[in-house]
Amino acid sequence: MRKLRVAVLTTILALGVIGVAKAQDAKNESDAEIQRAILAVDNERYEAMQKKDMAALDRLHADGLVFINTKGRMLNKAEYMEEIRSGNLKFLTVETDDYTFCVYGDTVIMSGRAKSVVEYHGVVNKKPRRFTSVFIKIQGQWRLVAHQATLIADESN
Amino acid sequence: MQNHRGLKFRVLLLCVASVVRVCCLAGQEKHDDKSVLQTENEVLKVEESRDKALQERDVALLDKIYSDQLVFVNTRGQKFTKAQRLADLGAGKVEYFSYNQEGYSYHVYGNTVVMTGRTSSVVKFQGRVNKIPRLFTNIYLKTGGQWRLVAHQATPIVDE
Repeated sequence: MRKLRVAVLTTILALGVIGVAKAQDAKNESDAEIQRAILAVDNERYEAMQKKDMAALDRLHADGLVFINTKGRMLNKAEYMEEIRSGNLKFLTVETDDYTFCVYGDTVIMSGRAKSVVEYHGVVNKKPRRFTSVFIKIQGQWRLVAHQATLIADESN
Repeated sequence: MQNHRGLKFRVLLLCVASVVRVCCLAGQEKHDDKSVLQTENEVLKVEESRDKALQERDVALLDKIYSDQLVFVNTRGQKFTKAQRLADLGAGKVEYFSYNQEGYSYHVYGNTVVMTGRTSSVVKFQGRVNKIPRLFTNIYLKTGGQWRLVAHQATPIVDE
């Protein structure tokens, strides 16, 4: 009986240790690995937008997505996806650079500059813009939870 | 005596199981409505402190509220670090003539909060006065028991 008790207690403790170790493993991912993972997700996101792959877009965007475009219009996930599905929002080219990443565990702030050519409701926008994208790992998947873009003003004006 | 031992064992088992469960849940998202509301209130309080500090140019308070890795993008698409932003405020390069923010919304993801809002504050920066209404996103993150602003971006609302 005593052996059985020890065995039960040991098993429970071992399961607990495994659970904690798994959680720790996720945290031990280096910042460089996380940055690569975020860039991969962002590339996948752009590809999905260009191909109108709604299933991929659904997976890569959090349900609580907040998307603010260069016109200062705020869209939720459903509105944003509908703009892509309907063809109101089209990425004619994708060009981004000048990235910075701030990694806070399962939250990543990615900042960058975009010169992508975008058609929005029939108007083509080629102007450079600054963006901030926020990714959070939810149920093992990095998802975009917030994105905001602002046109870079011509300082000669 | 045997029954007493059995009871002790069951109590011990329950305790161990509870500890294991707490350990396993650590780091996972588990937030009920009450804690989400509490988080929103905490963030709002910090945001109100930030508003006051901006108007009063209280750089010491802003130093506490801004994360060291702050990413700040203004309505002209210019990006600033925490040091640059605090230096501009301290030097009086950012001047608020009026302050008005409204229409807040929050999305709570554990220790990260996405807060959006609309502002029509009148502010002078680099010799230009900005009166255009704009939408902003503030990202707050709780580190060391303190909510800190880790990212801010503002975009002018284009009149369609």
